[in-house]
Amino acid sequence: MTDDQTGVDAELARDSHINPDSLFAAETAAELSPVPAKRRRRNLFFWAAVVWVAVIFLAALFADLLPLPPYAEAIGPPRVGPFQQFGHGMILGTDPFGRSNLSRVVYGARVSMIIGVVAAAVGLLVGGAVGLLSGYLKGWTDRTSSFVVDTLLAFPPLVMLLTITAVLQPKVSTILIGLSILVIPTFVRLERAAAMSWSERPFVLAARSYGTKDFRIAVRHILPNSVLTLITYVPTVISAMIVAEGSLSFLGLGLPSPTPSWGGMIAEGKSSLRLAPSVVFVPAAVVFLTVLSFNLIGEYVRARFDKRTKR
Amino acid sequence: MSSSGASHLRNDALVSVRDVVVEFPVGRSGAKVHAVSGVSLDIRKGETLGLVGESGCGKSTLGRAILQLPRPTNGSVTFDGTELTSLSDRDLRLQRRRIQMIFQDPISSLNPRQRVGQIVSDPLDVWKEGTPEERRARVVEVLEAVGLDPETAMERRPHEFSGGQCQRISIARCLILGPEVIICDEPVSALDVSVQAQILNLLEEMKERFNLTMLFIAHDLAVVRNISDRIAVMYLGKICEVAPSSVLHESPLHPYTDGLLRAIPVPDPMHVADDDAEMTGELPSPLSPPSGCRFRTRCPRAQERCATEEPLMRELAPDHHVACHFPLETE
Repeated sequence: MTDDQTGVDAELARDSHINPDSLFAAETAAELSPVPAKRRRRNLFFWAAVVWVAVIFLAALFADLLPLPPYAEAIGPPRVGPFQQFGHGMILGTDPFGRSNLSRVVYGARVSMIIGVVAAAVGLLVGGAVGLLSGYLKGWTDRTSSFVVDTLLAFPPLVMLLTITAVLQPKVSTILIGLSILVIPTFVRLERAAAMSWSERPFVLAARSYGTKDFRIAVRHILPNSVLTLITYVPTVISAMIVAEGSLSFLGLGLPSPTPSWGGMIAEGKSSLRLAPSVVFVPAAVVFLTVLSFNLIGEYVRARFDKRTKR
Repeated sequence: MSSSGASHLRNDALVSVRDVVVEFPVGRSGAKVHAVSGVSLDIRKGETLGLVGESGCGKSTLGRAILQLPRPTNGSVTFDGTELTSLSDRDLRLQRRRIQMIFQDPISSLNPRQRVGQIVSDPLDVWKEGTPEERRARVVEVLEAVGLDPETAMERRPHEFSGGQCQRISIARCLILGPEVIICDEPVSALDVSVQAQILNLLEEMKERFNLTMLFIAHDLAVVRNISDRIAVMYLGKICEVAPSSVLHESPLHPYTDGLLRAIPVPDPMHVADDDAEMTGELPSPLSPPSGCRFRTRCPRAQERCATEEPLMRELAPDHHVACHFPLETE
């Protein structure tokens, strides 16, 4: 590099403050660009999914306040199809015992939402914390947690759930324990991989070089960067938990009657599947829409997150 | 590993590296890569030492070994009379704030989830220095010192800045604790040529203003030429030549240094490259380095002796040290 070159560059250096105008100009240009049709359609699906999940959540939360008939009592003849009668709570028909499908779906939403959200939250917190520690600290912490996680993953999930529900009483808390144990390893693996790759970044090395302690590096530098990956995974886990609860109830290991759950409703209707498919169809449709909605939301969040990380 | 000669070492250095070895395990076989094989170097207070060598020669590893990130396998690193390699983690932490580092990739040197204000004040937060107002004032001060406008910069995140601006932010974070030594690990290699000069000038300016001592690592001799007082050339984990910057450029003694200098493009269409002295081949694997002189496999002057006997560092001209059995002629 010659001397006069350096001189010119020094002059350039003096005007190199960031220019706020140019930054804003870039932002407005991006805002004005038309939204592609494909993305708009995707947004529509996303919002429909959000509305459906919100309806299910609110119904589960305020079930007691809604003008619904009691879910444990017969309100009409058994196996009435949906949209046949429009009396009090009859709109979705009745189950094999003549109980209101609407009431049972709404109260069943409670079980599904509690199980889905709590199991996913426990998985996120416990799995995230263990994964963060083993991915950042490595060494024996990582070896121990990896061993436990591998063992849990090697266990057939259904066998584990059957064992837990057979040994303990079939209560919501029992199912929650089983399902949480089931999802923790996935979160550990996700967070561990993310924490490992983030802890190689120079900014982590820089933080260590100015004397940051391990705990602060993990919490301030690695967690905020890696946790997004985990959060995008939560809706998918909730939907998987709803299906898992359904499977357990279908096998007769769910909550005891008359407590309604979606899986239990499908199980109760399965003997009359040929005679009155609507009894199975109503809860199955609700499960289908809810799981689909959670997956759509998860997919949308992930796509948004990917775009942000790519920038 | 035996010492590779110490004629280039001085007694009054601020940072002193003696026979440092850094090994990394390879796979599960128990084999080890010698990234740095017995290097001795020293830096005087206020001096800028340039450390040059091609990719993979161990220069970045050496820079990190000075910071004890990770601690070297063997050898000694003293800073201002304190032996760093044997310090406990707690005592080492106290020394660390006196030596700071700037990295090659400006963007991944900054936490993408934090705002620039947070990034730059983080070292102060870690050490719980001053009140929030005092910290903020310090941040404004260093951001101004590195040529950024604190008002606009502080509330923004790293991805809103260019590579050169990110490197300025890194430098600001580096300066905020008032360090004595800065290790620059290829700080301009990832930047455009025009921005490179700006950052080099900024480093020079900061060095004057804050009385810094610098180790400047680069793979490009042209980059370190102006900024360094003294240059050490590294090849495959060893130092092969040490000399003041101008001396090294005008009369290199080691065939490797000569090869590096010839590789600098000359902006003259009539210039004819000298093919005879050109280096050929690739850097040998540090898993099994050549016997004797490590450069002999690519050296145009290599003879039998080079394979059997490792050349030691010796002083051939005043303050010009070389580890070579058959150095180039001095005029």
